Amino acid sequence: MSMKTNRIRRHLSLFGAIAMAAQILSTIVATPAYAAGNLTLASMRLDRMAVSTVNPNTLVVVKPTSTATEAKLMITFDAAMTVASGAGALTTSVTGLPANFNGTTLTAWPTIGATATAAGQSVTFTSGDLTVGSQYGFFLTAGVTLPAAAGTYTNIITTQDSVPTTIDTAKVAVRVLANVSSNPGDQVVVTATVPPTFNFALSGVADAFTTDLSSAGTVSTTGITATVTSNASHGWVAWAKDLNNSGGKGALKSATSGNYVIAGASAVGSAARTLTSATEDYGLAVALTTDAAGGGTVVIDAAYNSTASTKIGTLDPTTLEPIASANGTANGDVITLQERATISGVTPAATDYTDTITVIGAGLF
Amino acid sequence: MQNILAIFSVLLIAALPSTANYKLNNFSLGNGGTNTAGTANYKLNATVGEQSGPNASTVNYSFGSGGNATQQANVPTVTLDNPSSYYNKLHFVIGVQGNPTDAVYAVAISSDNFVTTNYVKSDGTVGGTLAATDFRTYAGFGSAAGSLVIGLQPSVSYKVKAKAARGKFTESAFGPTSTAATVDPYLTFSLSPNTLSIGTLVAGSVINAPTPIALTFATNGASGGNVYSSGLNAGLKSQTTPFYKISAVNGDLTATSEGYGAQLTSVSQATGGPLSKVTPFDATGNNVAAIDGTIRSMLSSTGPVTGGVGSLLLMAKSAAQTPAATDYTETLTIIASASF
Repeated sequence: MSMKTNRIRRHLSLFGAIAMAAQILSTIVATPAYAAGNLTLASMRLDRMAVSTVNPNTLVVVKPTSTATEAKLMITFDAAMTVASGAGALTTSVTGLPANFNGTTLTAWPTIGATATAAGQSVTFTSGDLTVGSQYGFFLTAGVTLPAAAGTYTNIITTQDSVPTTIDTAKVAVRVLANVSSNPGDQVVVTATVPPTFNFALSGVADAFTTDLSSAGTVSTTGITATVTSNASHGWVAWAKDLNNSGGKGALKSATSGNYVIAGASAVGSAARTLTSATEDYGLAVALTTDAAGGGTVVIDAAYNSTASTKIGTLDPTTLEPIASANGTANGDVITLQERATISGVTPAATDYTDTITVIGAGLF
Repeated sequence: MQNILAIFSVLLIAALPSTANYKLNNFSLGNGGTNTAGTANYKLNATVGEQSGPNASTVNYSFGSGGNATQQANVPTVTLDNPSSYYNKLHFVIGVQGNPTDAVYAVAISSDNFVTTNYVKSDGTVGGTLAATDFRTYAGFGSAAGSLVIGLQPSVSYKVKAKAARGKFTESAFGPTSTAATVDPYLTFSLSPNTLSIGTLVAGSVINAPTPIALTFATNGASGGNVYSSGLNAGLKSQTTPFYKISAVNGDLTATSEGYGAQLTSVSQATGGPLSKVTPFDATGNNVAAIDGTIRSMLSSTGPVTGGVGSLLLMAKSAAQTPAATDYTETLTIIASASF
């Protein structure tokens, strides 16, 4: 046998060894056609599915099939996903797990590693033993960025023993959605409009004094209510102005008595005052009847606040004066307006003392 | 002279019956078979006086000669397919080829053209050995509806072949192969539109969004999947002072002064599933389900689904004192997952 023939045989032998080694290696590395055990269930729920989402809070769920003792969990992410490479960059949590998943009780993954460091697209967490028949989950809270392109991506979840040898495995598809007109593809921005409303209603347009005016004491009208309903977020204001002008003060006037007036005794804008018997005085008293719940707080203007049955404020015949307000919406706020008067012993008798008060309101939107 | 007679006698025996076209190669008055030759696991079905060859065959057919061949079951066929985008199993149907109903069949499977042969076990999984219990009748393999081989890997092409038997010494050869492939697991999902104006609310009235949110969902996940929703503000929230919110509520909007929610008005699928509404999103009338900060399932399926469609209708009601604003906004996040 020649030396050349021996060299050829040695080369063939070496080639055969390499080929055999390659075959063994490929058997180890390649995904087997028949898994040691397909996970009974495997799922990955991304809390955000939009492209390029950074650190989607991902609920990882499995139901083991095999009874071997798990010690590790390996997740191999799709090549299109960006897996953080820093030490301990992938983090987990079992806080806030839903009570069940897919209709089955979800148990916190036992002793899942709090952090792990990726090796390429794969990351291996430490794991406690899983019991066949139970469903386990945890949140993968950081370390993964979704691809920039929409589509279906496949990750592989593999449970391992301490060697590590594969126990159960499964491929899991997740979907990534494209943005739509710059809006994330997994979101809907919902809008609505609530139009402004303002309703202001007086209970009547005539308000007579309950008795004849008297020098012996204060007499009041029955009263008119003003009801305010409004969605003005900053509230509302009510104003009043009367018709009869007596030196810049509102007044009751009798045409049959030569236009005699019973005018307010104090200047407009003064604090509400108590009427004095046997002294001519006239004015408006405003009381809070209802401060409806759920809205703003109603405040009666100090000049007209009728905290007692004898107080009034002088009406302004030239300018609308605020009588009450609220600082928020109103769902039926009610104020009551009464006119009160006292007369002296010489006030001319007449049956036509009258005044006209204009009451208005507006919302503050 | 004795030698001459002996040669003549041999020639007489060697002169077998024949015509111009046919010749009987062998005939006998019976064989010497025995049922006692064997071990605990194997028995010998032996004959004496019959030839066993030659093996006549083509690519598709082979001729088995001798007594054993005549008592073998007919060679069955098997058809392998993937009718529902399976990723971990395949469907097959045995072709009995005239075998009686009590014939039993075994199915071999391979992902490498039978360089390595595995077998469909009695529970549908794949194993490296073929046990007597792995032989099943045609009915045991699901009759015409067929059966599933499970525990396969996604995106792998498999070949199967079957053989039949009916009692001892009747096992046929494997029949022709049939090929099918698993696919990768998939999940498709979409929602539209991504912006939606409910419009102008009227105090005291339940207002429906002008269009529902269309959801599409499909998966080949063996355990189905879910569509979930959550809301950033847990209601429609004005983005201006005083940042008032029309809160997300569960229940009848008719009976509440103010609220906001959703209901699934319809759900359907092309195949599989079914895709079902999850309570309280199955509400009707003016009843709604709250969409708040918790991720909640709206649609669910326990099996694979194709062509799943759902319509999510948003409804809102304002009260008289609901602050006026043109910027009530909620951001819904709607996601889906599948279980494989």
